[in-house]
Amino acid sequence: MPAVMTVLSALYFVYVLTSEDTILAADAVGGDPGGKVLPLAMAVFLFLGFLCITIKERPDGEAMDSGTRNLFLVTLGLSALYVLLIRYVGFVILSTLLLYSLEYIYTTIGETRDKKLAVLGGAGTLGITVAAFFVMRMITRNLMSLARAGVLPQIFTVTAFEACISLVYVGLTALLLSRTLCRRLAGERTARIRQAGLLTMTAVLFLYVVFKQFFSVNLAAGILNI
Amino acid sequence: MSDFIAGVGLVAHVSTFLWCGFGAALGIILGALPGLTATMGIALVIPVSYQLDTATGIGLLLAVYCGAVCGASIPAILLGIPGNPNAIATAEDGQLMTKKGLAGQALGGAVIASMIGGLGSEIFLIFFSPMVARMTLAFGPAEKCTLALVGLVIIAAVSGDDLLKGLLMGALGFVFAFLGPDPMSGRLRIPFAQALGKTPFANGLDMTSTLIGLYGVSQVFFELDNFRRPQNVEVCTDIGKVFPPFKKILSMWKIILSSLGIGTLIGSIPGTGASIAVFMSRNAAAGICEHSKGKLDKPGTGCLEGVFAPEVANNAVTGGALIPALSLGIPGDSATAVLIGALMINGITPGFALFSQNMPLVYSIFLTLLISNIFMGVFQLAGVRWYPRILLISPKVLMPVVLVLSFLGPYALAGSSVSKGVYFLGTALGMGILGYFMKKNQYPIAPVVLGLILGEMFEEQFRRGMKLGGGTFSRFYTSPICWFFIALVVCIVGSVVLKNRKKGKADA
Repeated sequence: MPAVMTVLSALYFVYVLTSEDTILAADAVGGDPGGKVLPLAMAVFLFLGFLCITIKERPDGEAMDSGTRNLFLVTLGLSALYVLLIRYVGFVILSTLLLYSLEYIYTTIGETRDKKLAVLGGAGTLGITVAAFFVMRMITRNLMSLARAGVLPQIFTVTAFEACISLVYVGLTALLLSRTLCRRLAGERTARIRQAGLLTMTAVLFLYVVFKQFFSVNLAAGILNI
Repeated sequence: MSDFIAGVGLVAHVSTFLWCGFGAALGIILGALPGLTATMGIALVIPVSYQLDTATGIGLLLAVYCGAVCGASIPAILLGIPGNPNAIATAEDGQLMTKKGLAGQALGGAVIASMIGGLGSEIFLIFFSPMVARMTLAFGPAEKCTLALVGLVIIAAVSGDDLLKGLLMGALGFVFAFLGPDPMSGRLRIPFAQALGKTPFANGLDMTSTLIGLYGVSQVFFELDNFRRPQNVEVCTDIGKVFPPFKKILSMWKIILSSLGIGTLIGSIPGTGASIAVFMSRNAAAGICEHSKGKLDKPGTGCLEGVFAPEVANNAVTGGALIPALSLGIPGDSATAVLIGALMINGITPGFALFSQNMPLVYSIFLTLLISNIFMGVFQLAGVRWYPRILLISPKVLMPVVLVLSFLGPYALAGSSVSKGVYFLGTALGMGILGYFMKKNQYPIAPVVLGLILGEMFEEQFRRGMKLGGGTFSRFYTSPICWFFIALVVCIVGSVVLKNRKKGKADA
């Protein structure tokens, strides 16, 4: 790390030095040292400091073993894909895939992985989460329009109340799935997939309700924008 | 009085109480899980706090802070592993009490002690912070610039074992801050301005994304190193009687008072933090017990005194650390550094302006801290039999959720702009990777955060000071306040250097 930082601080120094000064003409008369002075000072300090550490060869943290390196790269790769694709694919689908993948990979460290079963589990989790999401959206939309039409009490038009209903729905769906589907899939081979899938669905829908319905955050709808 | 009533008005909403309660519970859970810290908890809830009204948002952040400090005692007592450095001194006696079958009393005692520490230090906070804030009236640009430097140098000096690494990280934080537009002329300074000038990067690095990346995302990558190691956690869930005898608590009044004083004082010295306060209070408690003619047990023997002293002190630090944080904008520890960042994101700049122009908000902060401490105590006492089960949650299950939550935070702050959200997400991921390598190579993170927070103020005040001095440093070297700050830095840095040398010699 110190060697990389030494190079980066040298590059930063060159960048600041060659960039146009941001000082205003009036300020220069008044004695303003300009917007390059402190960045240059910091670049010099960083360069000398990291150079000193590099020369002294202080031991870095212990190196990663190959297994941990693979875990690191998989996590990094999936996270980068998440950042790049979220605008196009959307929060629900991408978060489900990311969460399921990481849950499955992390909880099966040191165990034999059944890749086919894992992919099937992932597809199943995605299908169930998307279906549960559509049902939730249908319920809240219908309740709201019925309330607006005067069929239901006006409290159903309040966003926070709708969000509470959604939270109850998420809880009940998770409970129902754990009592039905997860029990039918009982068995050692499917244990990790079951746990990862259930946690993924619950977490994604819960976060969606909290951020989208409670706080009106514009979570990317992506391909579910239909 | 009218300001106080207005402050009460700001917090007298059901939603404020609900969010404080939620924050306290979340903080306890985060504090209880080894590897997750109060700082990370605050960073993760910033986006939520931003969606709430100011007083409620700050209440949520403070509740997470208090809850996490208190929650750290759970693994310390039951497993002998402190949830974070605040509970290091609790671990020894707590674990011994658990082995004696007194886990419930240790947990209950820790909660009561935490409440006493939190509430007691708040009295000091209410009394001293306006006084300290009033002093800043005498500050001009040169003093403000030096003050920013003082805060940074102190944090750099005490947040790691290597002073140079701390200072380098502080400088890196400044560089991150200098990527924003020039504070005087407004011109862009971001590299590749032609390409990046039309993106959200034109305004420099987004503070929230940076905080979440450095504390949340980096922790996920950091935990990967532990995943391949065998983890056999056996938690004692049969904890027995919860409340310690009331007479016993009363008999410890001297320990309580000394720990409260030590915690508040240490907390109010910028950069010191709870890990120093807990050991000092434990040592003070040992002295008191020695002179108690056998009425009190000595810490280290598996007694309530050894749990009470550090737990009063570490929660007293929360109130103490808020004194310089609110009045000067200088954090007491890394958690308050993030808290200052969160306050600024919520549109509040700590310092005299806050105390002179927005006193109702200041009162609302005090009140929400009070509410948070009460919720923290009530929730942890009510759930004292349930919380030990949190320790059974594997980090392997938890970390993916933390990662998604870390990505959701910056995104939530981007508002309706999806592309802005993507830039913020990229910042969080980039900072997460940087934070991982920093942790791996023992570079402290807190100075980077503080550098980013204080960088703009430091640069602006430095240039104003230079202008007022006609292009010279005269404003800096003619000010006694500047000299005082410089002397303070020299003293603290000197003591840290001496301590490190002694430690190095002892290790050799």
